[in-house]
Amino acid sequence: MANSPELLVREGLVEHLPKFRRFALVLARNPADADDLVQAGLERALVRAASYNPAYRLESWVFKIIQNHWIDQMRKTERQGPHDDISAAYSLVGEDGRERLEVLDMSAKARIAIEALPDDQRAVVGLILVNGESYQDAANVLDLPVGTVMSRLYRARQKLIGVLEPSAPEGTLQ
Amino acid sequence: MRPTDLDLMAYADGELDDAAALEIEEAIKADPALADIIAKLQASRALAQAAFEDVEAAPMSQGLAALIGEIETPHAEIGQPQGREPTDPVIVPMPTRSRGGAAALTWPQTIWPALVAACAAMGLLAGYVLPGRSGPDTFLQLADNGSAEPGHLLVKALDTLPSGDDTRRVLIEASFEAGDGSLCRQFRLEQQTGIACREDASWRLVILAEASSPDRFQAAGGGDPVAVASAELGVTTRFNERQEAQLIEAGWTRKSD
Repeated sequence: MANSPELLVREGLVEHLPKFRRFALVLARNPADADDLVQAGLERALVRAASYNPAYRLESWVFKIIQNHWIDQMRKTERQGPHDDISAAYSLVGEDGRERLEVLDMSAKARIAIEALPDDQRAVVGLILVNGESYQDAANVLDLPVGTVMSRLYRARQKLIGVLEPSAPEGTLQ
Repeated sequence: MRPTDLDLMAYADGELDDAAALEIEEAIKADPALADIIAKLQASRALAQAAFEDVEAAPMSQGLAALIGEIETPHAEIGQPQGREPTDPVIVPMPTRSRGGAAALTWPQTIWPALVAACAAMGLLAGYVLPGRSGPDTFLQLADNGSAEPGHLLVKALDTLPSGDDTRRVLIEASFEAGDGSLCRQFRLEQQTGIACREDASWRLVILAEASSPDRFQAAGGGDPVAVASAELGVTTRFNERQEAQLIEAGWTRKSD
């Protein structure tokens, strides 16, 4: 059993749990949904553990499972019709976070800015900026060309920097 | 020429190779304003990390905490049954080696005779190798001792192809360092998949198996023999694109070799 794929998966899931929780929180934008997402992702990873190939990064494999599950959930939600959950985008500050931005510290502002990003940009930010994945690894997880990942990341950063530095011209880093 | 915004971002994120990074640094010397942009990009990464750094300390949901508890419990029954040994992988019997190396897999000794017998009985090696075609146009060939070894085409691919190049009849899927320091590459042919590791300045097959699902992430359970072999090898480093290019350039040798 030593060094079996199953054992490597079990060890890796525990070792990298903070990364999975951070990524899920960036996607789901509230802790309860994020932990449900991680739980579902880990359960799926365990079921497929015998097929895990250690030549590939376990984190990437599990990120991909979490991302796919998140997309499935979003599609189900869309089929069930729209629902108002504006506060989820501003989970740190309640119903109207924008008015309270000034009293928050920089990291809290950054979190609000990230939560307000579109889903596709949030996934890229969650992998590369929050978790430190490489462009290539993020592209593998998201099944996207590296160039697309970079474009999304750059657009997300423009918004992030714009929020953090309101005096800067919108939509530019110049 | 002014670098593009994406080039500056890639530089800020440490994603450029040495030559490209040098070009950015030269551009910064000519236009110090670029340094400010790079600083903002780096600050955005630091802030994003800081924004979610408290997650580790946050209490887990009951369901997730219970699952982690089960995972951490030795021999807990979750997902696939534990302790199941692979019973039907197609393994190329490797010659005994006089010293350690990537080919020295630590499969349970009780499994080896069954595997070798199964391979022989099913004529599987004959299916992988074209007898009498050990010339320059084969991917696999039979060694004198009856085991399979990489043919000329596979050796050329292992030597020169970057991972992910699927324009040829062989796809190199990954490159990595095994637990004993050997350099290994996982490959896929039309009907076979396997791992070859460097030994004595050549490539030695560590495992050769029937190719299953091309989607490595979605493959059904059942003990992928290549995955099991990869685990047995003890992958310590997965080479990224740049490291792989350096190894290809160096002929899959390192200074310490």
